[in-house]
Amino acid sequence: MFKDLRLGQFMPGNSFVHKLDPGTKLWGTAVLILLVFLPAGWPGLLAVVLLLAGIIALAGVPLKHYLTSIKALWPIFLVTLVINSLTFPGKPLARLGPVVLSSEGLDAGLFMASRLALTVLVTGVFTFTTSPVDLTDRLERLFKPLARLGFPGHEVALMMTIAIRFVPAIMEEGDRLVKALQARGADLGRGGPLKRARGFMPLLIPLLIGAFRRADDLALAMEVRCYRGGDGRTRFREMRLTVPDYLVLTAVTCILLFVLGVRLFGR
Amino acid sequence: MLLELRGVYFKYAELGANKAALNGIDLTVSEGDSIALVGPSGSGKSTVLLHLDGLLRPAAGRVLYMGGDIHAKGFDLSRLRRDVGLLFQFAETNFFGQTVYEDVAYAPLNHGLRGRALAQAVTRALEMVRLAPSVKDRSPFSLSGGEKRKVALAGVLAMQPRVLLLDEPTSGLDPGTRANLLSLLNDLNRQGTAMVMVSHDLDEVADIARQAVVLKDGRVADKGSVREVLTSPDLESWDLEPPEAVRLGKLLGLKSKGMPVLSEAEAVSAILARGK
Repeated sequence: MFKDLRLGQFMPGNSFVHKLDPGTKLWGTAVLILLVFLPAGWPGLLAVVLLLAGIIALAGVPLKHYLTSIKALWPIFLVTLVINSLTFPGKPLARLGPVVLSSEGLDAGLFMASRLALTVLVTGVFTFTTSPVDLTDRLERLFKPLARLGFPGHEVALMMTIAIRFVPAIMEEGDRLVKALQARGADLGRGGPLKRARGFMPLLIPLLIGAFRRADDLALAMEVRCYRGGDGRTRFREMRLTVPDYLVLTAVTCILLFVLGVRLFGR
Repeated sequence: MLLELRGVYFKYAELGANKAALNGIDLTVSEGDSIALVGPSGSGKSTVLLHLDGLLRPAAGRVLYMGGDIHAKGFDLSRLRRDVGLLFQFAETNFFGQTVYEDVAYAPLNHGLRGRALAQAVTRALEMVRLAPSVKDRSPFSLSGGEKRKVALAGVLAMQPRVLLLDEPTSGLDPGTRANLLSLLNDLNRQGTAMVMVSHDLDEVADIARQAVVLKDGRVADKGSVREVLTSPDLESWDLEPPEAVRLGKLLGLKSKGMPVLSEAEAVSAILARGK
């Protein structure tokens, strides 16, 4: 049950996108999400879809993983579609009491749901192709200038790494606990949403206790292996931007400047 | 026959495409049986237990309870879960209740027991594992390791199962608590509860089980009476170490009623008999 969740999971690989620096990918992701939310209508969205299709092909991660991410969030897309469809004013298509569905509303709902789905796909490319450890390493570098202002960049990056590394362990523990509940007669698959949610409540105590125990063990293990914070600490792997990174950074920035230029001065 | 695995094949997604955790396993569990599943780590022992309790679905083969396929449409899985209790390895990490009472009551509540019947089920389960009634209001997390394991067992026994599935029930316990728990399990088996136990400790297996099944790479490598299996010359080729008494018996050529000795008591008797 818990193991089926695929959202935000790194898929090791050797593709062009995998090899890019996490900072490059972070910048690319931010720009793509900005493009998704620019008010450029369906043609603008179609351009992002084509660009994203190319990136997905370059990333080499099987399409089914992206589809699993989309499938996991379908209730959010549905709610977005329904709310936008029913609240956007326009020419009525259907009416049920005070509720009016307009063609403009349906268009707005589909547009907003598509934007969200694209955002999930964009972040999917990033998380599927970026090792969490590489990402936090890069973030630590990015935070470095803030150290002068007293911002604990190393500690924040370390916390993020540990939190990310705990996710599979907690998933596994959750899976084991679900089996233990079922073995003692819990029927977790039946009833309405409230009953189902209530069925999972007993998991909270052992999951929390397990997480605290793991955190405690990890802190002790780090301490006995001489961890003393980030000062004077060397790196196992030094990250450097390569030629493909500079090319991608330039291309992404040019696209952003071009789109912004068209938006600001094109009319 | 209570439980049966017929040609069960199972593969964990994480193990990769070529490695099956279970590769055509056949196993039967009848009333009063006491079966030990032994084998090296990763041989599929715990996976067998999860299949017997219907927590994993085989990719091929069938799991039968009282002759009915437990994964067939219309099969009442809650009946299986009531009659078959599973004690997980380090079960004390799976407490769901804030007090011992709440935790032990979890399964009976799921099976519809309320009020006095529920209280009686909890009290009886705590008595069966020889825990004082006063523990029932304490947090299960505040107990000692041995007490925690007993509470976990009480949580399983509260359903009065006909079959007990035990995944390394004594791992991590001190020798005294271990002996106490084994004697308790022996008593339960004598009273008619069938048992399937996973263990790495073959001395323990010799003490408690009557039949043994050796698993290796998801297949049954050998099965038979505990004496046949634990005194088999092939034991070491399955990465298993014979019990101390068996090793001593082999070195000294000791026999008990014409068979290789299995336990310390048999070894001592054979040595004494030789002295006479």
